[in-house]
This record gives sequence, C-alpha cells and structure tokens, in this order.
Amino acid sequence: MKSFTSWIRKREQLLLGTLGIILVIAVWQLISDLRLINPFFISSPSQILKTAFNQTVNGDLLEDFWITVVEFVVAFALSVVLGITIGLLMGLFKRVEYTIDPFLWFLYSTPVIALYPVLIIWLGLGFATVVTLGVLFTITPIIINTFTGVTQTSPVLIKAAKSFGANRRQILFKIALPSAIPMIVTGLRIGVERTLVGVIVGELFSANAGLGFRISYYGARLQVSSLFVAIVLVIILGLILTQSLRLLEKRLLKWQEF
Amino acid sequence: MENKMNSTTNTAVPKPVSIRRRRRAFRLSERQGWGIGAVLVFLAGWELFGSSGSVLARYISKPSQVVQAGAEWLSGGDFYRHLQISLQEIFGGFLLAVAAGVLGGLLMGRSRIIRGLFDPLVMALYATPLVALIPLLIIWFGIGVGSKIAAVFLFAVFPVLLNTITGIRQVDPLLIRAGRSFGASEWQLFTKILLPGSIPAIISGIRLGWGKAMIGMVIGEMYVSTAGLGHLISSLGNSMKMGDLFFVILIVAGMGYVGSNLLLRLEEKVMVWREEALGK
Repeated sequence: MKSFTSWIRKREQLLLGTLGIILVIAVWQLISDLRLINPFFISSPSQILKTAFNQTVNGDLLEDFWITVVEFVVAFALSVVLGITIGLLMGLFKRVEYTIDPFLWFLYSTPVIALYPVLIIWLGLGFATVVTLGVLFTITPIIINTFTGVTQTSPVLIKAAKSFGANRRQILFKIALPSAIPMIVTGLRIGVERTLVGVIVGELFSANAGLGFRISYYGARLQVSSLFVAIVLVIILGLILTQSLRLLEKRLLKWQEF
Repeated sequence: MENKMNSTTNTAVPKPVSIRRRRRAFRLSERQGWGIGAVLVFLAGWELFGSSGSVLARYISKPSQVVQAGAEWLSGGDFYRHLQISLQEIFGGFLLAVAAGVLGGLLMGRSRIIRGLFDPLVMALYATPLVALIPLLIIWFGIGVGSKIAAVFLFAVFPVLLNTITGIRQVDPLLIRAGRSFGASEWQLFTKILLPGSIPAIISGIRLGWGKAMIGMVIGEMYVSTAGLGHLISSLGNSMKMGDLFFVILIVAGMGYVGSNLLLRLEEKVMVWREEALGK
C-alpha cells in the first residue's frame, strides 16, 4: 500500500496531466453530444478524429503537412546560416554592430507580417513569400543570441590563444564560436517557435498550400471539423519542434558544465 | 540609475553622473554616429531607388512619400477612428489577459493538483503558433471587435500566466510558513505575501504579453475585420498604397515599442524598490 502511494506521488504530475487532457476531451464531447453548444461551431473530438482519418486516407492532408514542413525547414536553415553569420560579424567588428543595430531594433518591434503585400508583389504567392516571412520572423533572436554569445567570450581565453600565436581565424573557430554555442542554441530554440509562427502566418495570408492555408480555407467555409484537424496538426508540429530543441539545449548545456 | 548607485554605495555622488550625462548629450558616441549614419544612408538609398522609376521601385514607395502620407493621415479624422478601435481591442483583451493570467497563475502556482491538471494543456497551447486559432475565433466571435479582443487575450494570457506561476513558486516558503503560523487566512496569504512576492515576475510577464497582444491585434485585424490599424494595413497593402502602408506599419511598431519600454521602466522601478525593501 505504501509503495502504491509513493508510486503515485512520483508520477503525480504525469497522471494529473493525462487526466486533465482526458477531462477536456470528455467535456468537449459531452457538450457537443448534448448540444449545449451547437456542434456546428465546436465540432467534437470524435468528429475531428473521423475527419482526420478520412483526410489522411485521401492523402491531401499529408501533402499540406509536408509542404509546411518543407517551408519550415528551408526558412529555419536560411535563418540559422544568415543569423549566425550576421551575429558573428557583429560580435567581431564593432562597426558592423553599430551599423546593423538600428535595423535590428526596427525588425524586432515591427509587425513583420504587415509587409506581406510587398512580399507578394516581389516574390509571388506561395513558397518564396512564406519562406521569407519565416526568415524575417526568425532571424532576430538568432542574430542577437549569437552576437551576445560571441561578445561574452572570456577575454582571458582570447589573450591566452594570442600569446600562443593563434591567428584571427583560429580564434574565431576554436574559441569564439565554441564558447558562444550555448547562447546560439538558446537562440535556435526561440527561433524554432518563431519560424513556425512565421510559416503558418505566411500560409494563412499568402499561400495556396500548407497547413496555414488549410486553416484559412476551412475557416472561411465554416468547416469546423476540418479546421480543427489542421489546428491539431499545427499544435503537434509545434510540440515536437520545441521539445526536440529543448532536449538539444539541455544536452549542450550539460556539455558546457564539464 | 542614481537610486541604484545610492543604494549600493551609500555615498551619494550625483554630480559626476549629471556632468557625464551633459557631455554625452553634446557629442555623438561612435555607436550613435555609425547607427545614425547607416539609417541615413539607408533612407537616402531608398529615396533614390524609389524615385528611379523602375517597376519594382513603384511598389516600395519612398521615405518622402511616407512622410507625406503620414501628414495626410494625421490631419484627417479617419485615422483616429481606426486607432481608437485598435486601442479598444488591445486594451480590452490585454486587461482580460492580465486578470485571467494573474488569477490562473496564482491558482496554478499555489495548488499542485490544479497545476498538474492544466500544465500539459497550457504548455501545448504555449508551444502552438496561436495565429492558427484566429480563423476559429472569427467563427466563434464574429468579424468585429469581439474576435480581436479574444485574439489579443489569447496571445497575451500565456506569458502572464507562466510568469505568475514562476513568481509564485519562487516566493520564499519560509515567509509562507511564517504567515501561516501567525494565522493568516488563504486570502491574506495571497494578498500580503504571494502577490507582492511575485510582482517582479508578473510585471515582466505583462511586458512580454504586451508585445504578443500587439501581434494578436494586428494579425486578427489583418485576417478579417472592418476597422482598425490591421484593417488599414491589409486594405492599403491590397490596393498597393505603399506610402500609406509604411506609415501605418510605423505607427504600429511605435505602439509596440513605447508600450514595452514603459513596462520595462516599471519593471526596473519595481526591482529597485524590491531590492531596497529586501536590503532594509
């Protein structure tokens, strides 16, 4: 009996969390079945599951899911390469930092999505526009974190390397970059969330495919079940991405401690 | 700044600070020089390219045109109507979010069971790009002010909620136990110990929430609406009035910037006050 209570104690959070999710789903189903709220507006878990199954069999759900994933990967990869490069340059050269700083602040406080009409004209509807929006959403935290990481490199390390005759390139790749890695990874974690937001917003406003487009399409046609299927997929995608980056971050931070 | 110095060094040295400040006002630092120079070069390049008459240039307007459009908008009454509606939405949704976030945070921070029940749901929604829910909000609350208030609420509530939970859990358990021993009721615990103890965390949550609230307002209005700054952005964008579009974008960016800066000030003040209170 005692071991049973301690077993529950240990897994309390997990058990309660599962219970919470089950409760919400059950209440939702009940409200819908008893027609306390018109199911037309809120659908129901069983209906959503059925719709999801049908759309998966059709194949078009997976196709849109795939498009979103590809757009996400391209946007994120571009942001990482551009963001780390710019952040490094800013950290290494004072004048680059001073020059870029005001633009970074502007990009940080502007609702980037408002630029979508300009982007559509320049890049057309779809892939290129969505990816660009994703990059604009993502690049600021990556730049800022890389920059902070590089400038926080211990000056003692750099001095030591210099006295042992290291050149600029060696200092950059052997000291500045490795010591900035934890900060950069934190930037990537924040970035992942923002890329997904950027891609979904981009698809919502200016695309003809992808999960965001699906949400917009079914929303406009008041097909709430199909709408929920797409939303749930977006939630799952978000959870997978943020959790995997969190794990990566934990690992790298552990490595740093040694 | 001066406050901080006084509290840490005990000997008040106001004079050097003010002299340094005065000097800084007259001479540009290297940072400011390069920054202002870069912005000026950017604006000049934009102006030149915008006047060059190439096809792409027609769609990016130019700074002089943005200024002109801004003057026109500011002198007309229409702009203020849109601004007023946006402000209504953002303040309505934001106040609701702060109230619900702090209250929910108190409950979740205080009770292990409530926290356990809702933690995965909150985390799942926090990791979700909430923009995905905007079409649903439109179906539920209509295309008017209601759905935007809901969007602002949804965007702003999670930072407030999560920071409140963190703040509450960081309150020194000794204080809680001391309060209990002296017979404090749960309500007294909330108002006298838990709330004041977690105020700094709550305020930084509110600051983060403000930025999100702005995004929720703009995207909600841009998606479907009949009035508001976001509505202006999408309708001006769709009719290719780029000068006017950039003006409205600047206004929205300014609102976000001013709001979070004010809240940052408040946060710093509270931190100083708290350090002093704890120090004494």
